[in-house]
Amino acid sequence: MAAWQQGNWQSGLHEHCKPTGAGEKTTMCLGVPGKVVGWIDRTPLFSKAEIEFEGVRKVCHMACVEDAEIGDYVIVHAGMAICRIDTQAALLQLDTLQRLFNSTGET
Amino acid sequence: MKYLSEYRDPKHAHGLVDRIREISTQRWTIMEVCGGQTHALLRSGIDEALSECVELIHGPGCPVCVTPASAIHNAIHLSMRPQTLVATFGDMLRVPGNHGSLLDAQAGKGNIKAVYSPMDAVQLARKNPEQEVVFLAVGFETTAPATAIAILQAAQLKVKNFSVLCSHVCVLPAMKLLAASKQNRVQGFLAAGHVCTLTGFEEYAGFVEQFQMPVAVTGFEPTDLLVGILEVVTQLEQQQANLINCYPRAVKRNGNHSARQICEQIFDVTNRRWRGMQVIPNGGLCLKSQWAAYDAELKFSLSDVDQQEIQTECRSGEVLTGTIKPSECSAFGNQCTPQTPLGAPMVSTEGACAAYYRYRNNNSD
Repeated sequence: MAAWQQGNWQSGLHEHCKPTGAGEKTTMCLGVPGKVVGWIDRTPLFSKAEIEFEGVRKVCHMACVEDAEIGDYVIVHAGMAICRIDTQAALLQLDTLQRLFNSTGET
Repeated sequence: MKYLSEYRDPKHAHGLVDRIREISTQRWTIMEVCGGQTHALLRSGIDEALSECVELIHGPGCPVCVTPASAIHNAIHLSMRPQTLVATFGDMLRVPGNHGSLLDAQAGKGNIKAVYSPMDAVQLARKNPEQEVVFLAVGFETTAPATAIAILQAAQLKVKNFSVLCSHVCVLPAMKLLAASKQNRVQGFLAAGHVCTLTGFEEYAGFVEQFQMPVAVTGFEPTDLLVGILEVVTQLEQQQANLINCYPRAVKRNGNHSARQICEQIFDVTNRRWRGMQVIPNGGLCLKSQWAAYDAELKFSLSDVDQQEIQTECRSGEVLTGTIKPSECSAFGNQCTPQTPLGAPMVSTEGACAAYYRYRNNNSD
């Protein structure tokens, strides 16, 4: 009960899954959204980009999302981007929720 | 847009919880398949907020937890071999095998290194040409593409001292096994969103048709989870069974085309023993014969030791199939803690036992 009442979903939710810069965090399972801030290598199969996760930057493999552009958000899983986030689909879903629950939300 | 905070809006969360409570005429039983979803549900308290109308059963979607003892046995065996280095994800190191963990082996003679991705293991092999580098590849369809890319990179770079001990697993065959079980109590599923990011969700249509249960492809933030639960409860109340994608920002019907192509190039589907469960038909991936040079099982003539799990007080098999909650195991929180785990679900960042210890154990920090 406590977790729900205290709104624990709000803060520090992903503390443990934020990829750390030095690569010392070697857990594999969690997918985290991050922003593509720069390409490092665009060689097919070896492509890499710098991804920013809430202020932390990390080099990630991009072989499965080679068409991503700088500024796009991707989901990174085990050091590799697994998809590009569809902004239109995200906005549409949030808009539906806001209309349903009359929330201002955050942008 | 950060694609995080927007999905933690308390107004949305409370509105969705209220809606689920309003429409429920009975207590429904829903399984969230992925361990990442289990952690998010417990961390946010969604399971308790909905306890009167929804029982959430935690599924087997923790690849660390279902990796069989034989894979750990083989990895330890290889790590003791001269001029051989075993690389794997950090999550795997503390998982108990029948004769200790990889971490125990590392403290002895085992040569083991944690890596962030299989591609890092290829780089290790390039830097250490005198060593055989074996990557213990575990994980669902989400991590399989990275293993496939590592093999393709090694082939292109002509790295011959790299190989893969392949223990990848596929989630849908396990869902089928659970749904077909006579003991099954699950009435609807939250499918693992990130697996579907890669695979797409078309193949789930057959599952819905066969078992007549609603399936919602669901993400990992509180709003995502509640949207998935609301969808499944709505269908159950209306006696419907449909497949719906509640994670459209990340999941497309056909998944990630590049990743699927890469995986099809490297892997065949195979039967695979899941820890705590049984051999699951088509429940795993193995390397296609043309990639035999990178298959550690063949390269080092490893026998497929079908090790029986050593019997302990640990009931992780029942936890993994959703038969019991972690706290119903007598070892939970006593002999079995994250510091002294008896079973893999207490070790893994996605394990249900670790989630209960962290979020539901009054003695924990």
